[in-house]
Amino acid sequence: MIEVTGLRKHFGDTEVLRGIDLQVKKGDVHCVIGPSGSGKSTLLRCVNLLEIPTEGTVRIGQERLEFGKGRVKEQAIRALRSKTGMVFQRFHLFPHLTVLQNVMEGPITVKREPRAHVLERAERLLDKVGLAEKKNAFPESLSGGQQQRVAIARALALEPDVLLFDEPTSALDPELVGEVLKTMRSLAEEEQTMVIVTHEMEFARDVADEVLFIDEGRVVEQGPPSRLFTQPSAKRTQQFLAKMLEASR
Amino acid sequence: MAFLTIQWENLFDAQLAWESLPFVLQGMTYTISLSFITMGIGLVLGLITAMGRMSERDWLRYPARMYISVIRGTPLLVQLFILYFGLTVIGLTLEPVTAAVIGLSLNVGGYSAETIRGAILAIPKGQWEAAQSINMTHWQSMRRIILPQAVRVALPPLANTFLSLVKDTSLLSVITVPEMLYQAKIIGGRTFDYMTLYLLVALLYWVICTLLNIVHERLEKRFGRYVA
Repeated sequence: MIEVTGLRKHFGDTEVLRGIDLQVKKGDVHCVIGPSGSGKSTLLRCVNLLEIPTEGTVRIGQERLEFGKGRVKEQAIRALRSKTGMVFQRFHLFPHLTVLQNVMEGPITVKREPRAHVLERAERLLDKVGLAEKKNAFPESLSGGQQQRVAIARALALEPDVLLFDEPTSALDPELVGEVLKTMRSLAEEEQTMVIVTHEMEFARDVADEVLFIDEGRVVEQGPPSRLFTQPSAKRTQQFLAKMLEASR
Repeated sequence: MAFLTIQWENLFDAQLAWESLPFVLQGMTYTISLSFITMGIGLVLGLITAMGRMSERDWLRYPARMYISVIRGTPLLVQLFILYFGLTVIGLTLEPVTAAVIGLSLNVGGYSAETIRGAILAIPKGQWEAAQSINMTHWQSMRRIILPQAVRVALPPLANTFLSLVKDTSLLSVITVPEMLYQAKIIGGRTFDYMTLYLLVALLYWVICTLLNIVHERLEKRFGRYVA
């Protein structure tokens, strides 16, 4: 489904990603963990091409792009991006549109799907994230957790092959984290392919098929959560997990 | 001390004001229609110029900056003189109303360009990214996501621009456009009672601006209804 090889990203002189490989099978959930500044978010943003990688290849389904060998066409970027849906840390809902309009905007403006068709799907998605009764509200009248669930529905409305989450619960008040994680769990149960950058270790342990620990722009260690969380082999992973455990106590 | 006695009865001749009203109101149709027409053209110019000013291409950005700089750096009255009197030396004679429409539109364009640019830049980068993430093109993002939000930000300064514009139409009297002040000056000259006519005109401008202010407040509510 997703295949990333040799991914590098420079910002000026700083090298944020130093050659990353990532394979995600259809229906799998991969969680990416690591300290801040390790390149987790950049990795995600390179997969949907909000950032253009300096080098490497990204393949999603049939769409494949190679970077670092001349200019990449806008059209090719958009073709690849259309396979992805993105959920941001700070939601970034469109404040001037209602909840329902937020969800419908992509399919109608970008994919030019018939309105009635989109409306039905949007209402179904809002129902799924538990916000059917809020469809006519404006985003700013909702709690952070509700806004993030709308953002998930907005991403799903484009029927992407893979959903990307960039620390989806990090900007939320602690008591609102649960409702967003619950929505994500139910997506995982439906075999929605997902790549999730997160600090929620417990969630990663329960839901992920594979966990990647990233530090300084490299994948230090990866494996099923049952192994990675209980018997991490790399010293750096052990240190990081110990710190996370300490913090959550 | 007779020379210090203020002659209040010369201040305002209500009868004359009442009788002059129809003639002055004829001028008001010019004042109002020219204000709306040039605001409309000026906003289109302003939007285009703002886009040019933010472009990465030098050949768009430099002319836009030059235009804004010239318009904001020279008096409107001088701009109008150049258009109406000055251009005749190169054989270009404009009708007063034509010169007025060109002059005021260019003026509004220069000022609103900076307002619009500022409003677009005030929209958080996350909105562009979210639009991009649902695969919108740059122009779809601009049109559907950024501009509708920028309108709310730009509305108060644009309302200011419009009020200034309405009052600046009085400058058109010097290039013989028969707007309110021009009409008032004709009667003033005939009756030697300028004061009454100027006060009448001032009152009428004030009424127009007060009404426009009410419209502005309504619009602000309308465009701000999504803000919690």
